[in-house]
Amino acid sequence: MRRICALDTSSAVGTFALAEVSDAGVRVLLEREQRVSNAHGESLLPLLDAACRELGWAPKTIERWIVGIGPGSFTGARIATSLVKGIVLATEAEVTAVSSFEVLAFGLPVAIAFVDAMKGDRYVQAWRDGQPSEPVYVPANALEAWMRGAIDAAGPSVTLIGDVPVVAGLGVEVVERTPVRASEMIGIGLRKAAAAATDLEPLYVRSADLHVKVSEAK
Amino acid sequence: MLVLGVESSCDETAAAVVDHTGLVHSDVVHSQVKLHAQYGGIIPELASRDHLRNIAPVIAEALDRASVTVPQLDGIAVTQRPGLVGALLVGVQAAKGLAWAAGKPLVGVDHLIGHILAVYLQRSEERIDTPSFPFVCLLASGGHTAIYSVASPRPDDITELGATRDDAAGEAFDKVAKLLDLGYPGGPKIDRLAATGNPARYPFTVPMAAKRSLEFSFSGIKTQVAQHIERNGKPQTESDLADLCASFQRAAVTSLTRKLFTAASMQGVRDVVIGGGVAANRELRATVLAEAHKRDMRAFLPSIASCTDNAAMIAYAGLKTLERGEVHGWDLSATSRTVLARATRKGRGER
Repeated sequence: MRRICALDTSSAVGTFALAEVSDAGVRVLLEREQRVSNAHGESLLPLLDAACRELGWAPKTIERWIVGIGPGSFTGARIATSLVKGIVLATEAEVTAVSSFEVLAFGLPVAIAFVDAMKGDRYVQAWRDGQPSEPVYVPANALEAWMRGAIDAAGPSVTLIGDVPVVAGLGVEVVERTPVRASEMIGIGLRKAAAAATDLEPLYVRSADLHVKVSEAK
Repeated sequence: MLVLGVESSCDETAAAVVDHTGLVHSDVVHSQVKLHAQYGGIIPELASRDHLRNIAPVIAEALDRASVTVPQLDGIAVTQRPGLVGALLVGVQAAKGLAWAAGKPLVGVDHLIGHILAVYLQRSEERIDTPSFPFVCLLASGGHTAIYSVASPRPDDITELGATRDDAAGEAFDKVAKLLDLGYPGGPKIDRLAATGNPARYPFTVPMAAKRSLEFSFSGIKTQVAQHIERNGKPQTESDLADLCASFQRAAVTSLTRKLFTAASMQGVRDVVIGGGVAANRELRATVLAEAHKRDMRAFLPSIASCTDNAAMIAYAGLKTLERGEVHGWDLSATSRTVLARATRKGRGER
Protein backbone atom coordinates (compact mmCIF):
# COMPACT_ATOMS: atom_id res chain seq x y z
CA MET A 1 0.00 0.00 0.00
CA ARG A 2 1.58 3.29 -1.11
CA ARG A 3 0.53 6.67 0.21
CA ILE A 4 0.36 9.52 -2.25
CA CYS A 5 -0.62 13.15 -2.23
CA ALA A 6 -1.80 15.20 -5.20
CA LEU A 7 -1.99 18.96 -4.91
CA ASP A 8 -2.59 21.99 -7.08
CA THR A 9 -2.49 25.73 -6.32
CA SER A 10 -2.29 27.11 -9.84
CA SER A 11 -5.81 28.57 -9.78
CA ALA A 12 -7.89 30.43 -7.20
CA VAL A 13 -8.95 27.06 -5.80
CA GLY A 14 -6.31 25.23 -3.82
CA THR A 15 -6.87 21.49 -3.88
CA PHE A 16 -5.20 18.39 -2.52
CA ALA A 17 -6.07 14.74 -2.17
CA LEU A 18 -4.56 11.97 -0.08
CA ALA A 19 -4.86 8.48 -1.49
CA GLU A 20 -3.63 4.94 -1.04
CA VAL A 21 -2.51 2.86 -3.98
CA SER A 22 -2.48 -0.91 -3.99
CA ASP A 23 -2.82 -3.70 -6.52
CA ALA A 24 -6.56 -3.25 -6.15
CA GLY A 25 -6.33 0.32 -7.39
CA VAL A 26 -6.42 3.84 -6.04
CA ARG A 27 -8.51 4.75 -3.01
CA VAL A 28 -8.93 8.48 -2.37
CA LEU A 29 -9.18 8.83 1.40
CA LEU A 30 -9.61 12.55 1.62
CA GLU A 31 -9.88 15.53 -0.68
CA ARG A 32 -9.93 19.19 0.23
CA GLU A 33 -10.60 22.31 -1.81
CA GLN A 34 -10.41 25.89 -0.72
CA ARG A 35 -11.08 29.00 -2.75
CA VAL A 36 -8.65 31.62 -1.52
CA SER A 37 -7.53 34.89 -2.98
CA ASN A 38 -3.73 35.09 -3.14
CA ALA A 39 -3.46 33.08 0.06
CA HIS A 40 -2.43 29.55 -0.93
CA GLY A 41 0.89 30.24 0.76
CA GLU A 42 -0.78 30.65 4.12
CA SER A 43 -3.58 28.11 3.77
CA LEU A 44 -2.15 25.10 1.96
CA LEU A 45 0.20 23.63 4.55
CA PRO A 46 -2.08 24.05 7.59
CA LEU A 47 -4.85 22.26 5.68
CA LEU A 48 -2.51 19.53 4.52
CA ASP A 49 -1.10 19.13 8.02
CA ALA A 50 -4.59 18.82 9.49
CA ALA A 51 -5.57 16.27 6.84
CA CYS A 52 -2.50 14.15 7.46
CA ARG A 53 -3.19 14.23 11.20
CA GLU A 54 -6.77 13.20 10.54
CA LEU A 55 -5.54 10.12 8.70
CA GLY A 56 -2.68 9.51 11.09
CA TRP A 57 -0.12 9.98 8.33
CA ALA A 58 3.39 11.22 9.02
CA PRO A 59 4.69 13.37 6.13
CA LYS A 60 7.61 11.03 5.55
CA THR A 61 5.24 8.12 4.84
CA ILE A 62 3.95 9.82 1.68
CA GLU A 63 5.87 8.11 -1.09
CA ARG A 64 4.79 10.18 -4.08
CA TRP A 65 3.79 13.80 -4.57
CA ILE A 66 1.77 14.56 -7.68
CA VAL A 67 2.04 18.28 -8.26
CA GLY A 68 -0.19 20.46 -10.41
CA ILE A 69 2.01 22.74 -12.50
CA GLY A 70 -0.70 24.83 -14.15
CA PRO A 71 -0.69 26.75 -16.33
CA GLY A 72 -2.40 29.49 -14.40
CA SER A 73 -1.18 31.88 -11.75
CA PHE A 74 2.62 31.91 -11.84
CA THR A 75 2.84 32.61 -8.13
CA GLY A 76 0.08 30.15 -7.31
CA ALA A 77 1.79 27.34 -9.20
CA ARG A 78 5.04 28.09 -7.39
CA ILE A 79 3.34 27.70 -3.99
CA ALA A 80 2.79 23.97 -4.43
CA THR A 81 5.99 23.31 -6.39
CA SER A 82 8.27 25.03 -3.90
CA LEU A 83 6.51 23.40 -0.95
CA VAL A 84 7.02 19.96 -2.47
CA LYS A 85 10.65 20.71 -3.27
CA GLY A 86 11.16 21.41 0.43
CA ILE A 87 9.26 18.31 1.53
CA VAL A 88 11.22 16.07 -0.79
CA LEU A 89 14.51 17.40 0.57
CA ALA A 90 13.54 15.81 3.87
CA THR A 91 11.77 12.67 2.69
CA GLU A 92 13.30 11.84 -0.71
CA ALA A 93 9.81 10.93 -1.91
CA GLU A 94 8.98 10.60 -5.60
CA VAL A 95 7.61 13.57 -7.53
CA THR A 96 5.46 13.77 -10.63
CA ALA A 97 4.22 16.89 -12.40
CA VAL A 98 0.77 17.03 -13.97
CA SER A 99 -0.53 19.93 -16.02
CA SER A 100 -4.11 21.19 -15.96
CA PHE A 101 -4.24 20.48 -19.70
CA GLU A 102 -3.53 16.81 -19.07
CA VAL A 103 -6.40 16.62 -16.60
CA LEU A 104 -8.84 18.47 -18.85
CA ALA A 105 -8.05 16.50 -21.99
CA PHE A 106 -7.84 13.11 -20.25
CA GLY A 107 -9.89 10.43 -22.03
CA LEU A 108 -10.89 12.66 -24.94
CA PRO A 109 -9.71 11.50 -28.39
CA VAL A 110 -9.56 15.02 -29.84
CA ALA A 111 -9.66 18.00 -27.54
CA ILE A 112 -8.66 21.60 -27.09
CA ALA A 113 -8.15 22.48 -23.43
CA PHE A 114 -8.55 26.04 -22.17
CA VAL A 115 -7.22 27.49 -18.92
CA ASP A 116 -7.89 31.02 -17.66
CA ALA A 117 -4.92 33.36 -18.12
CA MET A 118 -6.68 36.41 -16.56
CA LYS A 119 -8.21 39.44 -18.29
CA GLY A 120 -10.05 37.23 -20.76
CA ASP A 121 -6.85 35.66 -22.09
CA ARG A 122 -6.40 31.88 -22.21
CA TYR A 123 -3.72 29.24 -22.12
CA VAL A 124 -4.58 26.62 -24.70
CA GLN A 125 -3.37 23.19 -25.72
CA ALA A 126 -4.73 20.92 -28.45
CA TRP A 127 -4.72 17.13 -27.97
CA ARG A 128 -5.14 14.25 -30.42
CA ASP A 129 -5.08 10.61 -29.29
CA GLY A 130 -3.38 11.56 -26.07
CA GLN A 131 -0.64 13.55 -27.80
CA PRO A 132 -0.43 17.25 -26.97
CA SER A 133 0.57 20.14 -29.19
CA GLU A 134 2.80 22.90 -27.86
CA PRO A 135 0.75 24.93 -25.31
CA VAL A 136 0.14 28.55 -26.28
CA TYR A 137 -1.02 31.78 -24.73
CA VAL A 138 -3.82 33.48 -26.66
CA PRO A 139 -4.85 37.06 -25.79
CA ALA A 140 -8.58 37.75 -25.48
CA ASN A 141 -8.79 39.78 -28.66
CA ALA A 142 -7.27 36.95 -30.73
CA LEU A 143 -9.19 34.07 -29.20
CA GLU A 144 -12.12 33.78 -31.59
CA ALA A 145 -9.95 33.67 -34.70
CA TRP A 146 -7.55 31.26 -33.00
CA MET A 147 -10.41 28.96 -31.97
CA ARG A 148 -11.98 28.85 -35.43
CA GLY A 149 -8.60 28.00 -36.96
CA ALA A 150 -7.90 25.34 -34.35
CA ILE A 151 -11.33 23.75 -34.83
CA ASP A 152 -10.82 23.65 -38.60
CA ALA A 153 -7.53 21.87 -38.04
CA ALA A 154 -8.88 19.45 -35.42
CA GLY A 155 -12.11 18.52 -37.20
CA PRO A 156 -15.74 18.38 -36.06
CA SER A 157 -15.17 15.65 -33.47
CA VAL A 158 -13.10 17.96 -31.28
CA THR A 159 -14.24 18.73 -27.75
CA LEU A 160 -13.48 22.16 -26.32
CA ILE A 161 -12.98 21.76 -22.60
CA GLY A 162 -12.09 23.86 -19.62
CA ASP A 163 -12.52 27.60 -19.32
CA VAL A 164 -13.86 27.84 -22.86
CA PRO A 165 -14.53 31.36 -24.17
CA VAL A 166 -18.10 31.97 -25.26
CA VAL A 167 -18.08 32.14 -29.06
CA ALA A 168 -21.26 31.59 -31.07
CA GLY A 169 -21.59 29.14 -33.93
CA LEU A 170 -18.55 26.95 -33.38
CA GLY A 171 -20.49 23.76 -34.14
CA VAL A 172 -18.51 21.50 -31.81
CA GLU A 173 -19.02 20.06 -28.34
CA VAL A 174 -18.12 22.43 -25.52
CA VAL A 175 -17.56 21.20 -21.97
CA GLU A 176 -17.33 24.13 -19.61
CA ARG A 177 -15.51 23.11 -16.48
CA THR A 178 -13.08 24.59 -14.03
CA PRO A 179 -11.06 24.15 -11.95
CA VAL A 180 -8.97 20.98 -11.77
CA ARG A 181 -9.54 18.70 -8.78
CA ALA A 182 -6.57 17.06 -7.10
CA SER A 183 -8.16 13.61 -7.20
CA GLU A 184 -8.30 13.85 -10.99
CA MET A 185 -4.54 14.26 -11.11
CA ILE A 186 -3.81 11.00 -9.32
CA GLY A 187 -4.41 8.53 -12.14
CA ILE A 188 -2.46 10.66 -14.59
CA GLY A 189 0.38 11.19 -12.16
CA LEU A 190 0.70 7.50 -11.36
CA ARG A 191 1.04 6.63 -15.05
CA LYS A 192 4.09 8.84 -15.33
CA ALA A 193 7.60 8.04 -14.23
CA ALA A 194 8.85 9.92 -11.19
CA ALA A 195 10.85 13.02 -12.04
CA ALA A 196 13.70 14.73 -10.19
CA ALA A 197 12.33 17.29 -7.75
CA THR A 198 14.90 19.80 -8.98
CA ASP A 199 13.24 19.68 -12.42
CA LEU A 200 9.80 20.44 -11.01
CA GLU A 201 8.64 23.71 -12.58
CA PRO A 202 5.31 25.34 -13.33
CA LEU A 203 4.13 25.21 -16.91
CA TYR A 204 4.46 28.94 -17.46
CA VAL A 205 3.60 28.99 -21.20
CA ARG A 206 3.91 32.77 -21.14
CA SER A 207 7.22 34.55 -20.66
CA ALA A 208 7.81 36.84 -17.69
CA ASP A 209 6.69 40.46 -17.77
CA LEU A 210 9.84 42.51 -17.99
CA HIS A 211 8.92 45.05 -15.36
CA VAL A 212 12.00 46.33 -13.58
CA LYS A 213 11.84 46.78 -9.84
CA VAL A 214 15.30 47.83 -8.83
CA SER A 215 14.90 48.71 -5.22
CA GLU A 216 12.10 46.60 -3.85
CA ALA A 217 14.02 44.38 -1.54
CA LYS A 218 17.76 44.91 -1.59
CA MET B 1 22.11 24.43 18.34
CA LEU B 2 22.31 24.14 14.54
CA VAL B 3 19.96 26.13 12.32
CA LEU B 4 19.48 26.10 8.57
CA GLY B 5 18.78 29.52 7.08
CA VAL B 6 17.02 30.10 3.77
CA GLU B 7 16.99 33.42 1.92
CA SER B 8 15.18 34.39 -1.30
CA SER B 9 13.94 37.94 -0.71
CA CYS B 10 15.44 39.52 -3.79
CA ASP B 11 17.98 38.30 -6.33
CA GLU B 12 20.03 35.83 -4.32
CA THR B 13 18.97 32.29 -3.54
CA ALA B 14 20.87 31.33 -0.42
CA ALA B 15 21.08 28.72 2.30
CA ALA B 16 23.43 28.37 5.24
CA VAL B 17 24.00 26.40 8.41
CA VAL B 18 24.98 28.35 11.53
CA ASP B 19 25.39 27.30 15.15
CA HIS B 20 24.60 29.06 18.44
CA THR B 21 28.06 30.63 18.62
CA GLY B 22 27.47 32.33 15.29
CA LEU B 23 29.92 30.01 13.54
CA VAL B 24 29.02 29.66 9.89
CA HIS B 25 29.27 25.97 8.93
CA SER B 26 28.24 26.62 5.36
CA ASP B 27 27.01 29.57 3.32
CA VAL B 28 25.82 29.01 -0.23
CA VAL B 29 24.69 31.92 -2.38
CA HIS B 30 23.40 31.63 -5.92
CA SER B 31 23.38 35.14 -7.39
CA GLN B 32 21.00 36.24 -10.13
CA VAL B 33 23.02 39.34 -10.98
CA LYS B 34 23.85 38.14 -14.50
CA LEU B 35 20.19 37.28 -15.13
CA HIS B 36 19.00 40.80 -14.32
CA ALA B 37 22.03 42.82 -15.48
CA GLN B 38 20.77 43.11 -19.07
CA TYR B 39 17.62 44.88 -17.82
CA GLY B 40 19.43 47.31 -15.52
CA GLY B 41 17.42 46.15 -12.52
CA ILE B 42 15.60 43.25 -10.97
CA ILE B 43 12.70 41.69 -12.86
CA PRO B 44 10.48 40.21 -10.11
CA GLU B 45 9.01 37.38 -12.17
CA LEU B 46 12.42 36.31 -13.48
CA ALA B 47 13.71 36.41 -9.90
CA SER B 48 10.89 34.14 -8.68
CA ARG B 49 11.43 31.65 -11.48
CA ASP B 50 15.14 31.48 -10.84
CA HIS B 51 14.63 31.05 -7.09
CA LEU B 52 12.35 28.09 -7.75
CA ARG B 53 14.93 26.44 -10.02
CA ASN B 54 17.71 26.85 -7.49
CA ILE B 55 16.15 26.64 -4.04
CA ALA B 56 16.46 22.86 -3.56
CA PRO B 57 20.00 22.48 -4.93
CA VAL B 58 21.18 25.46 -2.87
CA ILE B 59 19.71 24.05 0.36
CA ALA B 60 21.12 20.61 -0.41
CA GLU B 61 24.55 22.10 -1.03
CA ALA B 62 24.45 24.09 2.21
CA LEU B 63 23.70 20.91 4.18
CA ASP B 64 26.33 19.00 2.27
CA ARG B 65 29.07 21.61 2.78
CA ALA B 66 28.26 21.74 6.50
CA SER B 67 28.29 17.92 6.66
CA VAL B 68 24.92 18.14 8.34
CA THR B 69 21.83 16.04 7.68
CA VAL B 70 18.29 17.33 8.05
CA PRO B 71 17.65 15.28 11.24
CA GLN B 72 20.66 16.96 12.88
CA LEU B 73 19.14 20.43 12.50
CA ASP B 74 17.49 22.08 15.48
CA GLY B 75 15.42 24.45 13.41
CA ILE B 76 14.84 26.10 10.08
CA ALA B 77 14.82 29.87 9.61
CA VAL B 78 13.60 31.60 6.49
CA THR B 79 13.41 35.19 5.31
CA GLN B 80 9.74 36.05 5.52
CA ARG B 81 9.92 39.82 5.01
CA PRO B 82 10.56 42.37 3.56
CA GLY B 83 11.21 41.79 -0.13
CA LEU B 84 9.65 40.79 -3.41
CA VAL B 85 6.67 38.73 -2.35
CA GLY B 86 6.90 36.27 -5.24
CA ALA B 87 10.57 35.70 -4.52
CA LEU B 88 10.06 35.41 -0.76
CA LEU B 89 7.28 32.87 -1.27
CA VAL B 90 9.62 30.38 -2.89
CA GLY B 91 11.96 30.31 0.09
CA VAL B 92 9.14 30.39 2.62
CA GLN B 93 7.28 27.50 0.99
CA ALA B 94 10.42 25.39 0.57
CA ALA B 95 11.45 26.02 4.17
CA LYS B 96 7.96 25.21 5.41
CA GLY B 97 7.89 21.99 3.41
CA LEU B 98 11.27 20.94 4.72
CA ALA B 99 10.46 21.82 8.33
CA TRP B 100 7.06 20.15 8.20
CA ALA B 101 8.32 16.95 6.61
CA ALA B 102 11.31 16.74 8.96
CA GLY B 103 9.35 17.68 12.09
CA LYS B 104 11.59 20.69 12.80
CA PRO B 105 10.64 24.06 14.29
CA LEU B 106 10.22 26.84 11.75
CA VAL B 107 10.85 30.52 12.25
CA GLY B 108 10.32 33.44 9.89
CA VAL B 109 12.96 36.14 9.93
CA ASP B 110 12.88 39.81 8.99
CA HIS B 111 15.63 40.34 6.42
CA LEU B 112 16.60 43.68 8.00
CA ILE B 113 17.11 42.07 11.40
CA GLY B 114 19.28 39.51 9.65
CA HIS B 115 21.47 42.33 8.31
CA ILE B 116 21.61 44.03 11.72
CA LEU B 117 22.77 40.80 13.41
CA ALA B 118 25.15 39.76 10.59
CA VAL B 119 27.97 41.33 12.57
CA TYR B 120 27.76 38.39 15.03
CA LEU B 121 28.60 35.80 12.36
CA GLN B 122 31.90 34.02 12.82
CA ARG B 123 33.35 32.90 9.52
CA SER B 124 36.61 31.41 10.76
CA GLU B 125 37.95 29.54 13.75
CA GLU B 126 39.52 32.76 14.97
CA ARG B 127 36.68 34.56 16.71
CA ILE B 128 36.08 38.20 15.91
CA ASP B 129 34.88 40.73 18.47
CA THR B 130 31.18 41.46 18.48
CA PRO B 131 29.26 44.50 19.75
CA SER B 132 27.51 44.73 23.08
CA PHE B 133 23.87 45.71 23.32
CA PRO B 134 22.74 48.42 23.06
CA PHE B 135 24.40 49.64 19.87
CA VAL B 136 23.54 51.82 16.92
CA CYS B 137 23.43 50.23 13.48
CA LEU B 138 23.52 51.83 10.06
CA LEU B 139 21.78 49.52 7.61
CA ALA B 140 22.39 50.57 4.03
CA SER B 141 21.51 48.54 0.98
CA GLY B 142 19.76 48.83 -2.37
CA GLY B 143 16.28 48.90 -0.83
CA HIS B 144 16.79 50.20 2.69
CA THR B 145 18.80 52.88 4.39
CA ALA B 146 18.15 53.54 8.05
CA ILE B 147 19.79 53.92 11.42
CA TYR B 148 18.54 51.74 14.25
CA SER B 149 19.00 51.68 17.97
CA VAL B 150 19.43 48.00 18.83
CA ALA B 151 18.85 47.03 22.47
CA SER B 152 18.55 43.28 21.78
CA PRO B 153 17.86 40.94 18.84
CA ARG B 154 14.12 41.17 19.53
CA PRO B 155 12.17 43.16 16.92
CA ASP B 156 10.52 45.15 19.74
CA ASP B 157 13.94 46.28 20.92
CA ILE B 158 15.06 47.59 17.53
CA THR B 159 14.02 51.20 16.96
CA GLU B 160 14.38 53.19 13.78
CA LEU B 161 16.04 56.50 14.55
CA GLY B 162 16.00 57.80 11.00
CA ALA B 163 15.79 56.53 7.46
CA THR B 164 15.91 57.73 3.91
CA ARG B 165 13.09 59.94 2.71
CA ASP B 166 13.52 58.77 -0.88
CA ASP B 167 16.12 56.53 -2.53
CA ALA B 168 18.13 54.01 -0.58
CA ALA B 169 21.89 54.53 -0.62
CA GLY B 170 22.52 51.45 -2.77
CA GLU B 171 19.78 52.55 -5.13
CA ALA B 172 21.59 55.88 -5.59
CA PHE B 173 24.82 54.02 -6.38
CA ASP B 174 22.96 51.90 -8.96
CA LYS B 175 21.27 54.92 -10.53
CA VAL B 176 24.50 56.90 -10.77
CA ALA B 177 26.21 53.86 -12.28
CA LYS B 178 23.43 53.72 -14.86
CA LEU B 179 23.94 57.40 -15.69
CA LEU B 180 27.60 56.64 -16.23
CA ASP B 181 26.92 53.48 -18.29
CA LEU B 182 28.70 51.34 -15.72
CA GLY B 183 26.08 48.59 -15.76
CA TYR B 184 24.20 46.88 -12.94
CA PRO B 185 24.84 46.52 -10.06
CA GLY B 186 26.67 49.79 -9.78
CA GLY B 187 27.91 49.88 -6.20
CA PRO B 188 31.02 47.73 -6.56
CA LYS B 189 31.96 49.44 -9.84
CA ILE B 190 31.73 52.94 -8.39
CA ASP B 191 33.67 51.78 -5.34
CA ARG B 192 36.44 50.42 -7.55
CA LEU B 193 36.65 53.51 -9.76
CA ALA B 194 36.40 55.91 -6.80
CA ALA B 195 39.50 54.35 -5.26
CA THR B 196 41.67 56.05 -7.91
CA GLY B 197 39.70 59.29 -8.20
CA ASN B 198 39.84 62.71 -6.59
CA PRO B 199 36.83 63.09 -4.28
CA ALA B 200 37.31 66.84 -3.97
CA ARG B 201 37.10 67.58 -7.69
CA TYR B 202 33.31 67.87 -7.84
CA PRO B 203 31.97 69.28 -4.57
CA PHE B 204 28.53 67.65 -4.44
CA THR B 205 26.38 68.85 -1.57
CA VAL B 206 25.73 66.38 1.23
CA PRO B 207 21.95 66.33 1.57
CA MET B 208 19.97 66.50 4.81
CA ALA B 209 23.08 67.83 6.48
CA ALA B 210 21.30 69.34 9.51
CA LYS B 211 23.26 68.21 12.50
CA ARG B 212 20.43 66.73 14.56
CA SER B 213 18.51 65.08 11.74
CA LEU B 214 19.00 61.36 11.34
CA GLU B 215 17.06 61.22 8.09
CA PHE B 216 18.72 60.71 4.73
CA SER B 217 18.03 61.74 1.17
CA PHE B 218 19.95 60.22 -1.71
CA SER B 219 17.89 61.22 -4.69
CA GLY B 220 19.41 64.70 -4.43
CA ILE B 221 22.98 63.44 -4.84
CA LYS B 222 21.93 61.38 -7.81
CA THR B 223 20.26 64.47 -9.32
CA GLN B 224 23.44 66.50 -8.78
CA VAL B 225 25.37 63.88 -10.76
CA ALA B 226 22.69 63.87 -13.47
CA GLN B 227 22.82 67.67 -13.72
CA HIS B 228 26.60 67.58 -13.86
CA ILE B 229 26.41 65.16 -16.79
CA GLU B 230 23.75 67.30 -18.46
CA ARG B 231 26.00 70.36 -18.23
CA ASN B 232 29.34 68.76 -18.99
CA GLY B 233 28.55 65.53 -20.77
CA LYS B 234 29.65 62.09 -19.66
CA PRO B 235 33.26 61.77 -18.49
CA GLN B 236 35.53 61.24 -21.47
CA THR B 237 38.57 59.88 -19.69
CA GLU B 238 39.10 57.20 -17.06
CA SER B 239 40.46 59.88 -14.78
CA ASP B 240 37.36 62.08 -15.13
CA LEU B 241 35.14 59.06 -14.54
CA ALA B 242 37.10 58.09 -11.44
CA ASP B 243 36.90 61.67 -10.10
CA LEU B 244 33.14 61.79 -10.63
CA CYS B 245 32.66 58.43 -8.90
CA ALA B 246 34.93 59.46 -6.04
CA SER B 247 33.10 62.76 -5.57
CA PHE B 248 29.67 61.14 -5.58
CA GLN B 249 30.83 58.39 -3.24
CA ARG B 250 32.39 60.90 -0.86
CA ALA B 251 29.10 62.79 -0.55
CA ALA B 252 27.14 59.57 0.06
CA VAL B 253 29.63 58.16 2.55
CA THR B 254 29.87 61.48 4.39
CA SER B 255 26.11 61.55 4.83
CA LEU B 256 25.98 57.95 6.06
CA THR B 257 28.90 58.31 8.45
CA ARG B 258 27.93 61.66 9.94
CA LYS B 259 24.45 60.48 10.80
CA LEU B 260 25.64 57.17 12.20
CA PHE B 261 27.90 58.91 14.69
CA THR B 262 25.35 61.62 15.46
CA ALA B 263 22.90 58.84 16.31
CA ALA B 264 25.45 57.07 18.49
CA SER B 265 26.16 60.29 20.31
CA MET B 266 22.46 61.04 20.80
CA GLN B 267 21.86 57.51 22.10
CA GLY B 268 24.93 57.60 24.31
CA VAL B 269 26.29 54.28 23.02
CA ARG B 270 29.89 53.36 22.37
CA ASP B 271 29.38 50.58 19.81
CA VAL B 272 28.42 51.28 16.21
CA VAL B 273 27.65 48.67 13.57
CA ILE B 274 27.14 48.82 9.83
CA GLY B 275 25.30 46.29 7.70
CA GLY B 276 23.72 45.71 4.31
CA GLY B 277 25.23 45.63 0.84
CA VAL B 278 26.54 49.21 1.01
CA ALA B 279 28.51 48.22 4.13
CA ALA B 280 30.82 46.40 1.71
CA ASN B 281 31.89 49.79 0.30
CA ARG B 282 35.55 50.26 1.10
CA GLU B 283 35.40 54.01 1.71
CA LEU B 284 32.44 53.64 4.07
CA ARG B 285 34.24 50.91 6.01
CA ALA B 286 37.46 52.93 6.27
CA THR B 287 35.64 56.14 7.23
CA VAL B 288 33.53 54.45 9.93
CA LEU B 289 36.61 52.80 11.43
CA ALA B 290 38.59 56.05 11.39
CA GLU B 291 35.74 58.08 12.87
CA ALA B 292 35.18 55.53 15.64
CA HIS B 293 38.88 55.57 16.47
CA LYS B 294 38.88 59.36 16.63
CA ARG B 295 35.94 59.33 19.05
CA ASP B 296 37.25 56.43 21.16
CA MET B 297 34.30 54.34 20.11
CA ARG B 298 34.11 50.79 18.80
CA ALA B 299 33.05 50.12 15.18
CA PHE B 300 31.99 46.63 14.09
CA LEU B 301 32.03 45.77 10.42
CA PRO B 302 30.70 42.45 9.16
CA SER B 303 32.86 40.58 6.68
CA ILE B 304 32.05 41.35 3.05
CA ALA B 305 30.24 38.00 2.70
CA SER B 306 28.04 38.97 5.65
CA CYS B 307 27.17 42.39 4.17
CA THR B 308 25.60 41.22 0.94
CA ASP B 309 22.43 39.13 1.02
CA ASN B 310 23.15 35.74 2.56
CA ALA B 311 21.35 33.06 4.51
CA ALA B 312 23.87 32.81 7.36
CA MET B 313 22.51 36.03 8.84
CA ILE B 314 18.98 34.64 8.50
CA ALA B 315 20.00 31.42 10.23
CA TYR B 316 21.58 33.38 13.07
CA ALA B 317 18.62 35.75 13.50
CA GLY B 318 16.31 32.72 13.42
CA LEU B 319 18.46 30.96 15.96
CA LYS B 320 18.10 33.90 18.33
CA THR B 321 14.32 33.70 17.88
CA LEU B 322 14.31 29.96 18.56
CA GLU B 323 16.46 30.49 21.65
CA ARG B 324 13.65 32.69 23.00
CA GLY B 325 11.28 29.77 22.51
CA GLU B 326 9.40 31.40 19.62
CA VAL B 327 8.26 29.18 16.74
CA HIS B 328 6.05 30.08 13.79
CA GLY B 329 3.16 28.08 12.40
CA TRP B 330 2.65 26.42 9.03
CA ASP B 331 0.63 29.45 7.98
CA LEU B 332 3.79 31.58 7.90
CA SER B 333 3.37 34.03 5.07
CA ALA B 334 5.60 36.25 2.97
CA THR B 335 5.13 39.99 3.08
CA SER B 336 6.81 42.98 1.49
CA ARG B 337 6.92 45.06 4.66
CA THR B 338 9.43 44.94 7.48
CA VAL B 339 8.30 44.23 11.02
CA LEU B 340 10.36 47.20 12.21
CA ALA B 341 8.24 50.30 12.75
CA ARG B 342 9.10 53.20 10.46
CA ALA B 343 9.77 56.58 12.01
CA THR B 344 10.65 58.40 8.82
CA ARG B 345 7.98 59.50 6.42
CA LYS B 346 8.88 59.10 2.76
CA GLY B 347 8.70 62.13 0.49
CA ARG B 348 9.52 65.81 0.67
CA GLY B 349 8.23 68.47 3.02
CA GLU B 350 8.50 69.80 6.53
CA ARG B 351 8.68 67.38 9.42
